[in-house]
Amino acid sequence: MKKGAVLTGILVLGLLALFGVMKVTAGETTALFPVTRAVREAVAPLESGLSRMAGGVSGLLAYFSDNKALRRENEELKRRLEVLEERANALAEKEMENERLRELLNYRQEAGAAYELALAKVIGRDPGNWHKTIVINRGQKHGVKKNMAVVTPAGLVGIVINTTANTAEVLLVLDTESGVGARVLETRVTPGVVVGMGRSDCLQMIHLPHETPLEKGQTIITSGLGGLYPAGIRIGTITEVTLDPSKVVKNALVRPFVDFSRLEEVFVIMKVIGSGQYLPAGSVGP
Amino acid sequence: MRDYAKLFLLAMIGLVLQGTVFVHLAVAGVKPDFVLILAIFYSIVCGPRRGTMIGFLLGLLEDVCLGRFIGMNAFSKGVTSFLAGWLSSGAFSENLLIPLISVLAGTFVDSTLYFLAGKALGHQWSVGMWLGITVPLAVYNTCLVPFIYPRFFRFASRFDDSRINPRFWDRFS
Repeated sequence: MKKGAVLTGILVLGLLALFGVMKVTAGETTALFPVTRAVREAVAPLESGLSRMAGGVSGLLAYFSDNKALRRENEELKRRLEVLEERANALAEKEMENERLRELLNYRQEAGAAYELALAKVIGRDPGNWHKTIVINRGQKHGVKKNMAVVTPAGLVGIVINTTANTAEVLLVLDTESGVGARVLETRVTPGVVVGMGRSDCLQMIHLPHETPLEKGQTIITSGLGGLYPAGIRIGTITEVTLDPSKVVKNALVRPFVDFSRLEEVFVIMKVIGSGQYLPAGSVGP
Repeated sequence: MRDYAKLFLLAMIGLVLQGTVFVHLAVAGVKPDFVLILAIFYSIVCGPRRGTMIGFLLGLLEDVCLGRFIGMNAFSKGVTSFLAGWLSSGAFSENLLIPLISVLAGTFVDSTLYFLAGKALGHQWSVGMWLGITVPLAVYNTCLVPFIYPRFFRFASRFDDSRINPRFWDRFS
């Protein structure tokens, strides 16, 4: 009985002490209990280390769990980049085509008073290496006939040599079979003949009298003699003047204005209106 | 007969490629001559008699496509095919050196014959032009041989008159 009363007393006292401590620590106190402080200080490094480790583990787990998503995202981005690059290329191509067509349109408007022109696309070239011809997508159905001159805004391309219903073959001025009556624009000197050399970057003007004043950089245009090519179409510039081995006539190497490796669209001169003399703006002449 | 039709179809595809795609893949201003390569290959595997006929017909096909100077390619390719078939008669057509040498030399022969025929017809072609075309063309054609010959070899093994072991190239595939 006595023992039970003592235990009850101790329990009550203990509870009262506990409530006392609760009461004391319930308020807003800035000072911690010394025991709490000591425990917290002791545990802090351990807590910090464990927290860091947990963060690392969590990052590692996140890496594995995110990797799949990242890879998928990466593939998606790559695909999008490809599509965008494709679009950018198509746009660049369209822009170039637009520029080319604008140039052709300007030429058509400018030269409209002198020629009736028909636009044609280059659809093929001679498969061999000996002849320089192109095939265009305009033929008899479109009114294209043999011996019609073919030009671009840059200058003379060649002449139609045969036609089918929907196509025409054009002999380029570069071909050794080609011969164009020509003269020097600046001096209007005695006409000579521009012939092809079988090369894509060079023509030759032959049959020029010895005393003809020829200079590097002069512009060569069609003379209109011979009747095949209208007069005044730009051909190229003189790059070199040489004396024929016979020393009676001069020859000149001419660099064509037309870039034959990039021919895509050309004009067929369907009809010459009036005198047919058309010189583009900027051409120098007397 | 169907294989011969395929051969001519191949030649047609070659001609179209030469006039379109290979304009942009020209080396030193020169496009490869697939028709000549085909004619020489055929001559190597089938002998000079058949080779001459096929070379002539493939050349004629090219001439007809060109529409002018009909016969020039037929002549030059016919003679070149005969020489390629005749000179390689004693050799094993399985050896890659045979088509390599044949195409290199054959291109020179073909170009020279074409040049001479053109001169005879009044073309204003110079020796410089002949060299400017022939040398890069011979190199270009020869470079294409390793890519085309093994496939052609397998294709040609179906011809009745071929002189080849049809299983030869299988060991490399």
